[in-house]
Amino acid sequence: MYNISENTMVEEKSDRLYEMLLLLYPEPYRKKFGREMLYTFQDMRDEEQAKHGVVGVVFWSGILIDTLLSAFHEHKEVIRKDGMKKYLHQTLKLNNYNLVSLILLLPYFIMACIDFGGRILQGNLGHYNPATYAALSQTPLYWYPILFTWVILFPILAIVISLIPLAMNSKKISWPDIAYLKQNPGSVILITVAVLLLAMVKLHDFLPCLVYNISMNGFGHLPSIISLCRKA
Amino acid sequence: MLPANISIDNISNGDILGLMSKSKAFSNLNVSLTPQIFYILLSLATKSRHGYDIMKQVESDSQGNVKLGPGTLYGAIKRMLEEELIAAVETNEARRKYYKLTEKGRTIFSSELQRYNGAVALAKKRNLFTNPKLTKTTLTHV
Repeated sequence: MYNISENTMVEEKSDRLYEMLLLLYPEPYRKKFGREMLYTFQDMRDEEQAKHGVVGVVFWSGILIDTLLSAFHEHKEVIRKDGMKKYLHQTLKLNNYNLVSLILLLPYFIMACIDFGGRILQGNLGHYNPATYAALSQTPLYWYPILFTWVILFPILAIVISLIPLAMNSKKISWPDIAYLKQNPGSVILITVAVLLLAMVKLHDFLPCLVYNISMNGFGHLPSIISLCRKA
Repeated sequence: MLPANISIDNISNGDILGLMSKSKAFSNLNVSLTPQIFYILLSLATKSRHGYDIMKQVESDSQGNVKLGPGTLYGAIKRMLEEELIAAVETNEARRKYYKLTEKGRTIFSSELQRYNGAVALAKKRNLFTNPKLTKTTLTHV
């Protein structure tokens, strides 16, 4: 059972998590209904807490499925109404440079998802799944020159290409200006993902292990988690 | 107007029912009356309600068969606002927004109820409610 301060903390955390989930919706929809959706979520959470004492996995699974399905539907609606080109540029705020970067990162991203899926299935994120690895290594993608291309070359190229729109407008602003970065969210996100994917080359066992253990145990045991994952 | 492939000699009851279901009120509507939208209209038929209240009323009216999350609820509300089936109500309450049925919403809801009523009357006349399979599954939402 929670005491009052713990309860408030849990509520704040769950609000923040739901606000993050709301980012999955197209911006105009979020601006119009986001606040109301958050209030409705808070009412649901309060009722769940009053009924069961805690807000559990079943509640969050329901919220997650509801959000993913309805966000997908809203994006589909925007594409149907505005067309793909306008959707990519205005809703996702991706310019042509970002689109090229996205295509370059896609092979590595898909491979990383397959690798993670295999790790989740075996229940150990700190070690690759031998079956998944055996299947993937049979494909031409694992031939060394091709492997080097999509694992190293493409992410570096994606970073360089995503930097172009940032560099083009950089003379107009005085650094450091966070608002400027907010105007180019596509570039910022793609550079972050590319850097993360490059880091994964070296830390492909350490990072999944770290994320998994932090999500399970929180930041309280960070030093012991780091030492555990170093051995992964 | 009859479709080209139906002549007056071979017209059936099914053809008539098919044409009747495409009444003018429905052909002008760009949103389909899914169970969710039907129950939202039902919940707003008696009074204006806010999001969470609609959600609870829909669950209660459908005996738990239709459950809405915030995403599904506001997706439906958005489409119903676009189609002018419902409208937001001006209130002093800052936290909540209330919604009410519009005249158009009330007309469409009423037509839908009449259609259900007609279907139920026909089913009763044909003694279909005695068929346990139909009573249990097909007619759950009616």
